[in-house]
Amino acid sequence: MNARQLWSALRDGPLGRPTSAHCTALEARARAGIKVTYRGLRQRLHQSTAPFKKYTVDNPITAGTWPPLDQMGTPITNRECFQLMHHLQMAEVARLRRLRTFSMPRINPGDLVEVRYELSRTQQTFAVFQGYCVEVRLKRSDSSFTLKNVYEGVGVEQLVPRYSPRLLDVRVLKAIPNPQTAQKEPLTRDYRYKWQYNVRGKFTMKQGVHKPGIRSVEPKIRRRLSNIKRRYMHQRVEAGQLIKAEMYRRALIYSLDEQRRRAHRLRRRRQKQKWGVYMIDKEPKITAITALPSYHPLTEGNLPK
Amino acid sequence: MLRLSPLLLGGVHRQTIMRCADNTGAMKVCVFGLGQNKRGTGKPGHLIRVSIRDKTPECTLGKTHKGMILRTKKEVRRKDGMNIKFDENAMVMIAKNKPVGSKIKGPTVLELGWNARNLCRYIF
Repeated sequence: MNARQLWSALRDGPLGRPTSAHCTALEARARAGIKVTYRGLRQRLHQSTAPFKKYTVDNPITAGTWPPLDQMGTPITNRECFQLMHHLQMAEVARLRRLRTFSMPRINPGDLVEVRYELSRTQQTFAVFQGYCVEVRLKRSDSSFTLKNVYEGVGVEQLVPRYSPRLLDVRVLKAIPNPQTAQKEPLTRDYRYKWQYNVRGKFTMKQGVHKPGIRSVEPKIRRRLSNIKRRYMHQRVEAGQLIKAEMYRRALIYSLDEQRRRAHRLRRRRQKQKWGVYMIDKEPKITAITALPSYHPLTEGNLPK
Repeated sequence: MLRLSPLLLGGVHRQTIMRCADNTGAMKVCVFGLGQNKRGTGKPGHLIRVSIRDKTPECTLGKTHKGMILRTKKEVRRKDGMNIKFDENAMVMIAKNKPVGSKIKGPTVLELGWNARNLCRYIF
């Protein structure tokens, strides 16, 4: 008996495929002596373990499919739990989004936002709150943003749930430009006062390898500027404003310029390093002699004879 | 414990020094009676008893007076998930369940009583 025959026998039972309406396939299996369990709403067919009496790890036949998941059921894992909750949350978010009568704009920290919400449904009172967004919490259906403003000299901070059905209108009055490219970390990272003295492996560390902090912003700015330039060039090429030949011609001119500049700099350096030749960039306007006081021996009348 | 301290100690307690936000002439008051709820802290709309610590010469109030909390630094949590907090603690003077002053400065929340709320300009 091969595997397919075994499976069909298990599926239909020894009596063959049941045909009558009142005799379902499961009943037939039950009558044929195959164990059928009901687990919640699902029905699970147990394959007979008759050929191998012991269903253990030691059994070489069953060891391949250990643990017997059809008998013990799949346990719910942390991951599955998380996914289940995530799907529930997403369904809730979709429901609340459908409920909304206005379109929710994208809110970033720093935007000036106006919120209209109802204070009381029975009294039909509404409130309008304008403020700068100081915090955005993205927590699925529990998402919210915080607005801050000053009214009559008193600061008010309000946390508004993003999916609240009591919101009537949310508008962004002033958005900050390029929130994606906003600078997130500072240009310089000065670790001078964060230096840890009791660190493991401090004495095995090679001296001079670790230099804490970035003190100069120059390379960073230079890199950013070159990135911007490159992006701008790409955009121009894509827009068709620059043709290839023109680009190459310009590149050549720039390279020649750069070459000349470098040669000039080299010449200057060589000149400076020339031994025994001293150069003064500018003639001093007031010589030292004119600035001398009248009684000084180097002044003209006072020179010794 | 240090982390829990803002949760436990936030809000208005006894001996809290607050601002008086109406035009009665009292400027600074010290809370000595909190009776609205058995335990916990004072929230906007709660009636309190205060002793007046600083006042203008035009003030005609006595040493102690009844009042109602107007604003708190501790956030007001609403059932719909909204949170509102202010930068200062403030209260208004109350006599015979009505505000003593005729004007109230600054914003407030909806949880306040009707009589005081009608005098406010900004209600959130």
